[in-house]
Amino acid sequence: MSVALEVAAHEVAALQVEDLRVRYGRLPAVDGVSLRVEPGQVTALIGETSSGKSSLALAAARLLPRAAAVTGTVLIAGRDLTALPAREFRRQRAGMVGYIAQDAMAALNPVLPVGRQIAELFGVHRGMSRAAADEQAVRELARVRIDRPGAVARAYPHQLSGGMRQRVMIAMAMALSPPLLIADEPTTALDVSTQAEILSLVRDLQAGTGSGILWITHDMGVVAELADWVAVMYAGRIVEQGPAAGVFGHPVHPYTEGLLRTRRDLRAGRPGTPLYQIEGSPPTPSADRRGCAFAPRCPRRTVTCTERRPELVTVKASHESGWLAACHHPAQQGAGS
Amino acid sequence: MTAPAPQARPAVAARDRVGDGGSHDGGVCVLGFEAVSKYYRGVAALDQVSLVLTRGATLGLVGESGSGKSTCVRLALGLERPSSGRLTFDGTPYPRGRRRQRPLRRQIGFVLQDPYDCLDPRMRLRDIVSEPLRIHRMGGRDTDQRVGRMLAAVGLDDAPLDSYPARYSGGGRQRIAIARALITDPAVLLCDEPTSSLDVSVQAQIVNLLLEAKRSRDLSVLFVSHDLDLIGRVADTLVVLYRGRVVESGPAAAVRARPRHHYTKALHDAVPADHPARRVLQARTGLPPASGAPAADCCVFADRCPAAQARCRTERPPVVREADGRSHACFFPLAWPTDHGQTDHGQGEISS
Repeated sequence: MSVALEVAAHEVAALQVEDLRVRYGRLPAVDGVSLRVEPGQVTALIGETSSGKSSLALAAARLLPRAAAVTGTVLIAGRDLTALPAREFRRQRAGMVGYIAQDAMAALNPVLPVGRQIAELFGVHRGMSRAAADEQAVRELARVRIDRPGAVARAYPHQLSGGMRQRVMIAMAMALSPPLLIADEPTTALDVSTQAEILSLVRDLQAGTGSGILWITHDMGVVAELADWVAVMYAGRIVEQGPAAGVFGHPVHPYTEGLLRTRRDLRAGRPGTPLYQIEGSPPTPSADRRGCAFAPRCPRRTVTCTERRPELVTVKASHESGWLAACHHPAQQGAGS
Repeated sequence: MTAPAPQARPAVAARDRVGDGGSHDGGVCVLGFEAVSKYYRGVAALDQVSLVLTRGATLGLVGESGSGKSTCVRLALGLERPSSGRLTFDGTPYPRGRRRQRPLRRQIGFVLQDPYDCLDPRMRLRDIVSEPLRIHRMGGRDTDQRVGRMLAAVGLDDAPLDSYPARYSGGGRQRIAIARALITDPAVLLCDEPTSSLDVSVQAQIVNLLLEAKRSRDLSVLFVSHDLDLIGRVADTLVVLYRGRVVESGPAAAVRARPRHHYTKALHDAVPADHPARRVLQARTGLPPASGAPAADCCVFADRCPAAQARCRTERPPVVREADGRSHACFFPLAWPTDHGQTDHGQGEISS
């Protein structure tokens, strides 16, 4: 017991999710997910439509509507915020978890200058005076590399470009230096050159703060640029997770393999020739799924796959601790890919 | 299931009398933009853009938001008229007026970005896919069979004709949109970001379907995208648009591997890595933000360009054509060691 406590004191995860389940009515969106985000690291959560990645993120930040039934444990910096009453939680959330949404235009208040919106945080949570909070907001905007932060602070969201709005969101999410940042596809709607700036900005900021980041995306390129750890979600479950470099080199689950191969082929395939494609479509949520959800699209499926659901287990022969995959026929490590 | 064989199109006759936009680099120009400009409230969305889509080719139009890609698509579809310059189809200028444009519109199929937006949720599959036939008075008793054959050709073999779009996923809807685009057996297919709102695992299927349709139906394709990887993979010729101007064009492989224009290079450098061990984005990758609307007599990229000099801000760079079919609009273009010949022009000026 005391040993466990000691270990915990040394390595309190920025986010620790245990057996999280989210249901909308009968339909499961997140179906028993366990995941850690270490402080100072980026965990990328990759998945497609209805994989449950956004539900997981919203559940972790306790932002889901009441209609969603959530069970499981969510520890942020070792604290179980789900146990707090709603009002108390709202008071503490901004200091514990920063949330960067995909659509900054929808997330920001359209009738308040962005500087004021950031300053509010310092007023409410740090008890700063209005003038001091406004000044602090300008400094926060400068931190996310906005030129002329003083002028931008007085601007309304609609007067800013998409990239600028996303920077404002990042400034806001990081303002109170929370131990955990959750970013839900923040660069998906941006141009590639803007995306590049945002990604390098986040990497630099994180190096200075030591926050843990849960970065949700569908883009393997973004994962390659940012992630230390990658978790691949499919139909509400994690099908593979492990160190980013390892997973990119030797993916174990056929879905991970397919995603990486799709991207590689897009970049390096001979122009005009057919692209490598994963067959079929992502599954729709289903309450009574048997076997592996990826089986209908899987090149390695056997009868076992359609009958028995594969457990998420340690990848054999892996030297990296914590590398897991849920597949009856995992790719052999070191066999190349 | 085979689709109806593409007939010898009546437009072939028209193709013989190509006008001045006709023959280009050994190919026949099917769809041409000749110095096309389009102004919205005095702001140039397109500024002197010339494009040549040759018969049987795939022309890739790449650019970020605000580059004018979508304006090009709207003009090509005849939804808008250029403020100056002209568009040609088979060497003949686009006629004025919707009714007179109809025969031309029949020759241009289109697939747009958002399959959730561009299919009427209250229409049945039969009506969606056969709508172009009704508009162009090409329908007949065999319409249902044609629709069925078309749906089979796009991989929706057992889609009930009286089902609604809601039943289909993003990829399925995009297949429906492709079936609708191809049912009039057009000569040209316009694809405006056809996969950017689809799941990654479905994108390749749709691109492959488009490539296959192009091959089997002898289509000429204008493919518009912001994704340099994707467009380099599907297009023969690449045109890079920036703030309404063509900054560079040429054979896709050459433009991707050895960009001339600094904007093309910046786009290229912004593409994320393919492996965590080879991260490419540096702390200052990317470009300074654009300042307000650019003046007419300067390079549109000058305010963000790492190699910009005084001249770039006071003079509009002319389009320079090179021997290998490439062209660029830059006073100080990038030169590459592998370039054949002594094309080190500009290199000295950059470093000076």
